[in-house]
Amino acid sequence: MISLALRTFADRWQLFVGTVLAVTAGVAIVHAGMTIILGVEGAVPPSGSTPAEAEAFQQAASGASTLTGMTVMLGAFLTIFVVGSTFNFAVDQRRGDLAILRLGGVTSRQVCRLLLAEALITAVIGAAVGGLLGVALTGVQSRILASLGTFPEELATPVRPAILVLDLVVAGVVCLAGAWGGARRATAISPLDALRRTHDTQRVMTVRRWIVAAVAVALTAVQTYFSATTGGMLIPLLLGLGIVITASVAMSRLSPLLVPAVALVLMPWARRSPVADLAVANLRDAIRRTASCAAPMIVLVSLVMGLQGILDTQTEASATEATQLLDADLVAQGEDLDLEAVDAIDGIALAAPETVVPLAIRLTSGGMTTNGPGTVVAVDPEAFGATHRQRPDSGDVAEFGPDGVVFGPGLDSTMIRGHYDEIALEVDGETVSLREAARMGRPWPGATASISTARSCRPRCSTGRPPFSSSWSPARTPGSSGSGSPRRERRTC
Amino acid sequence: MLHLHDVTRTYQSGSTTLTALDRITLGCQRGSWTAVMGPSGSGKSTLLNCAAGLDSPDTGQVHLDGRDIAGLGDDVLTRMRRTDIGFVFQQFNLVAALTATQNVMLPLRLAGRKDAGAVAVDALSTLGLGSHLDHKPRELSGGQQQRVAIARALATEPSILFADEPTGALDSASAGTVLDVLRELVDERSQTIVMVTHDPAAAARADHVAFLRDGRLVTTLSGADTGRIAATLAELETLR
Repeated sequence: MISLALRTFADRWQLFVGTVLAVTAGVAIVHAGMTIILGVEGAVPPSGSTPAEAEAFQQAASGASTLTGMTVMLGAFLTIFVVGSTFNFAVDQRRGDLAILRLGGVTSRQVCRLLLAEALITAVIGAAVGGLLGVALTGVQSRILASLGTFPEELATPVRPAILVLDLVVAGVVCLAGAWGGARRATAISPLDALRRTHDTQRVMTVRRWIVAAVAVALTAVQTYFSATTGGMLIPLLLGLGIVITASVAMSRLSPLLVPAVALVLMPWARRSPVADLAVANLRDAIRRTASCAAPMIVLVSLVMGLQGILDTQTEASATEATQLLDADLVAQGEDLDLEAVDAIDGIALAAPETVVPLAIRLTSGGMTTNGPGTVVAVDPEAFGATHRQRPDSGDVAEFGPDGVVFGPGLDSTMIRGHYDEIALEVDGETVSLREAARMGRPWPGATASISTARSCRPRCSTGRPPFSSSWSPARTPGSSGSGSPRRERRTC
Repeated sequence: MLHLHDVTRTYQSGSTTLTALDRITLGCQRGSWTAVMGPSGSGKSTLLNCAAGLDSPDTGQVHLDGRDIAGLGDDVLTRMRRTDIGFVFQQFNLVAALTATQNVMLPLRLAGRKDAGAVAVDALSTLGLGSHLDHKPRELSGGQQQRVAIARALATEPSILFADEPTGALDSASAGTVLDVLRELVDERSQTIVMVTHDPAAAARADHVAFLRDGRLVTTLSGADTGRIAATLAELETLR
C-alpha cells in the first residue's frame, strides 16, 4: 500500500496540496509556539537584574507562555479540522478510483490503510517544510510578543532537536486524526461504485453527523450559560474559547444544511447572471463537496470573530468593573504622576493612588510556599477603603494598614484558599512579612485579580500585563523604603 | 461453471419497488462465451453484477465453480476477485496513477504472486502492448486501455471473465480487435466469458446469446448471426 500511496500522491498531487499547506502551517505554529514556551520555561533573568527587573522578566515570560499556549492550541485545532475536511473532500473526489481498487481485489481495510499511508506521506512533507517555516516564524512571533511587552527581549529561542522531533510527531498525529474519518468512510465504498455513472447518492446528513452537531450545540449552550455567570478572568476566557470551538464544530457539521440555505437566499440575485446562477445551483446540488469546502472557512471565521469578541468583551468587562467597583469621579492613568499636585487641585476631595509593582507575593501554608496569583498593587490603605465599594468576603478593610495585604477583588476561592502561615513580599532585597486584612472575593464577572498592599504604590491593572516600563528611577511614595524606588504609572481616583 | 438459479433482485425507489431481476435461471458452461442482451432497463448489468458477486440477489443462488457466492462475505469475495474472477468494463476502470504494467501487476501483487512483474509484461506483450508498458492510462488510446484492462483481468488466470459493454467506448476498429482477443481466449485457453452488450455484431462473436426483458430471461440463441440477433432484439424492443 505504501508504494501505491506514493504513486497516487505523485499522480493526484493537486488533491493533496491543500492538506500539505494546512499541515505545514500547523506544524510551523506549533514549532514556534513550543520553542517559545520551552524557552521561557525555567528562564532566568539576566545577571545583574534588580528584583523588580527580575519580576518584570518573569511576568513577561509568563505572559508569553500563556499567549503562545493559546496560539498553539488553536493552531492545532484548526489544522486538524482543515486536514479532516480536505481529506474528506479528497475521498469524495476519488470515490471512483477507490472503487476501481476494490474491484481489483483490494479489501476495504487495505483502502483504509492506503489513505492512512497517504496521510503519513503528507505528514512527513508537512513536518519538513513546517519545521523550516517554524524556525522563521519563531523569530517573527518573538518580535511581535516583545512589541506587546509580553516577551523578555533578552530571552533567546534556539532551534532544539527535540522540537524538530515534535514537529514530526505533531504532523503525524494531526494527519492521522484528520484522515481517520475519511479513511473510515472509504471502507464503505463498494466495488459497484466504479460501475455507477452517478456517484454520491448517499445521504450527507448521516445519523453520526446529526449526533455530533447536537452534542456540539448542547456544549455551546452550556458553556454560554456558565460564561455569563462565572466571574474572574481566566475561566470566562477559557469558556469563551470553548464556545468558539464547539460552535464552529456544530456549524461545520450542519454545513450541508446551512450552505444550501444560504444559497437559496442568494438565488434572487444570482438569477441576474448565468454564471452566478450556475454557481448557486452547484452550491445547492453538490452538497457534500460544498460542505467539505465550507467547513474550514466556517471554523476559521468563527475563530477570528470569536476571539475578537472574547477580547472585546473582556476589555469592556474590565472597564465596567472599574466603574462599578470604584467610588470615584475620575480615573487618571499615566507615568510619573505628581500626586501632591493632584491633591492640590481645587475640587479634588481625595486622590487614591494605586501602583502595580512587578513583585510576587509568597504564600506559605503547611510548609509549602507558592507565588500568589494575580498582580501586586500598592495603595494608600485609607484611600483604598474610601474608594472601593466592594465589601470583603472575610476580614475588614478597616484593618488594612501598613504592612497589610488585601486579596482581591477578582481572586476567588479557587485562587486564594485556606489559611496562610506566612505572607511575604520581597522588596529591594528585603523580605517583608505582610498581615492579611481582608479577602475581597469575586464580586462581579470580569473583575480583575489583584493583591493590594500598602507597602508601596503602583497603579492597578488586569493580570498578565503591567502597564509600566521596566526601568527604575528614584521617586518618593507613601510607605516606600526610599531606595531604588521605581518610575511608575499612577492612577488617581 | 456459472449457474444462476431463481435469482431475484429488487431495488427501492422511494415508495416504489423496482424488480431488476425476476427469477432468472441461467447456466454458462466452462470454456463458453455467453452474451447477455436486452433493451435498456432489462436487467443486463444487474445480472452481471449478481453473477460476479458484486451485488447480492434478494433470493436465489449463484454458483460459481460449484460454490454458492450469493451469501459470501465482502473479504471472501474480494479475494475471489484477485484470483477467480476477472472484469472488463466499458470505462476500462484502470488506476490512473499506475502504468500499464503496474495496473496488470496490482491483482497479482495482492494475491501475493512473486512473479507479478514477469506475468504482467508477458500478458501485455501477448496483447500487442509490449511498447506501452510504462505508459499511464491517459497516454493510451481507448483500444489500448481496454487491452490493458483485459490483460489485468486475465493475468491471474481467472475461472471466469465478466465483461460489461467492453466495446461500448471504442471505435469499430478497436472494438474488432478486442473481440478478436476475447474469441482467441475462448478458443485457445478455454476461457469462460459472460459479456453484456447492446451490439448485435459483438454478440454474434459469442457462442450463446441470452435475451432479457423486464428482468426476465425471454430466450436464448446459440450460434446465431448478427441479423438474427438484431431481429430478436428489435422484437423485444417492439414488445415493450
